[in-house]
Amino acid sequence: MKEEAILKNLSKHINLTKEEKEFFISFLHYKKLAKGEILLNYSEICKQQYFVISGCLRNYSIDEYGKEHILVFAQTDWWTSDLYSYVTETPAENIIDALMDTEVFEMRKDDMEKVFERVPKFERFFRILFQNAMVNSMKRLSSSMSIPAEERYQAFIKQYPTIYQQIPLKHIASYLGISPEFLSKIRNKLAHAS
Amino acid sequence: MYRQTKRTRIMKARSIQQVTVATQVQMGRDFIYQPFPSHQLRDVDPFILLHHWGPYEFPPNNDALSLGAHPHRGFEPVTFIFSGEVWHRDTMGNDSIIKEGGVQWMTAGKGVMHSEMGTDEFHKKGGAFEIIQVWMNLPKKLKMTEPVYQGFQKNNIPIVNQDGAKVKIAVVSGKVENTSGPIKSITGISAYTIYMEANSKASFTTDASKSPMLYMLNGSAIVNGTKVEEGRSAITFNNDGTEITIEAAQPSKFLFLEGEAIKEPVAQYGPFVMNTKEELHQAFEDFQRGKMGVLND
Repeated sequence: MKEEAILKNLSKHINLTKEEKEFFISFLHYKKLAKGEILLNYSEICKQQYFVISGCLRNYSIDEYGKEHILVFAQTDWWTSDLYSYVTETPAENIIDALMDTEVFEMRKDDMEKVFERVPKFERFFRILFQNAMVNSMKRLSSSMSIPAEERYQAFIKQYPTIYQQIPLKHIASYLGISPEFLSKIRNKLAHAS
Repeated sequence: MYRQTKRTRIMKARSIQQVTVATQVQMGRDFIYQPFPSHQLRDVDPFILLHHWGPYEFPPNNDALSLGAHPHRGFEPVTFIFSGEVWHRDTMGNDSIIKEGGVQWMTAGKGVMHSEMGTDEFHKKGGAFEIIQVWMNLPKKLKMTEPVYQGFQKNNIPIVNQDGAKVKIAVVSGKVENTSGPIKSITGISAYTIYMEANSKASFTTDASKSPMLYMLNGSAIVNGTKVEEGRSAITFNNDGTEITIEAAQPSKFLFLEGEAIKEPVAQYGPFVMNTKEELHQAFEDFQRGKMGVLND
């Protein structure tokens, strides 16, 4: 049962009764995406949080010269959304699409509010989720300014242990802010060192 | 009496609307300068974006400018090369290296793929590099026009000398005094690059029906009575006259642009500029389906 995956994820931070679980599950919408399918397009308002049951999503923008800049990958057992658009309720400047065949649960913002009101412990869950996201984005920003690309690649492998071999090299290079050629050199160097 | 009134009106200086200093933005690995779009200056219709690269001094064995194959639709990306050289290739079959003082004017229209790279020779030797790319919008009726590329080297762009040749106005398109530029603009845009020595004076007439924009790359000057002391400044004008006079205190370099305001809704994302969100989505779909051609890096 696909709901088991999300309940297991919730149990990392909160304990729920059977009724609370059922109440939460009643608001979930299941969606299956084919590789390359867009979940959230630029200029749309992001009104959902997404939970990745399987597969991988990416959140990225495209600059004036057609170059993609990947902000985040969301792998299995991760929550994601376009937080800027979700919080400000303004059109998204980024795109979320599926890097491979992916299954997600969507939860609408207004339903989330209903859950918070009826079961306040969900506020604890999402507080922890958002504070972790905040810490991760601070770390990412800080490392992009001061840490060499080789170390950032190693940190990437650590953060995405199950998925990094399935993500095309050009996308990892975009995430790290380096050219695919440079990433190839780093990978070769690390392969020879090990 | 009528003639005098007309003469007085024609000779009146345009007053300055705003001076906007460019902000630095990161474009992938490059840091470039962008006076607009910005919080201070959204656009200068029909000009929607100005990117200023450099001036940089690249060492030998560099990898200057690397804008690999990418699409455009709905506008004209135009590159003015002040120093260095740019290698343009596109899906129309053009393969063109334009050097210092030249221009690459591409009408993307219904869609084209192109790449803009440093040349092998420049990568090997290094040197000074400074370019400006401007995005010139197309009106709805021309957004899906056939794509066209026009590339002109410095020696094909005529010069108008002023102030005892202390001022050189290179006429890329439009007309200064009796000299016309080689570019055929489908929307009637005038574009000049202006090179001024210290203590020199330039003057030219603008079209009352169009929006002019002057960008000072470097230098210090008085433009229609307003001091512009910081390089990388975009100067916009009110529509209360036609004359522009520049008095340069130091050696100064400018790009002048003038075009008819389009006054249509603009929907822009990434490399496409359309009128509606739906047209933007269509542009991405057409690009992904290969309708804008395939160009290998």
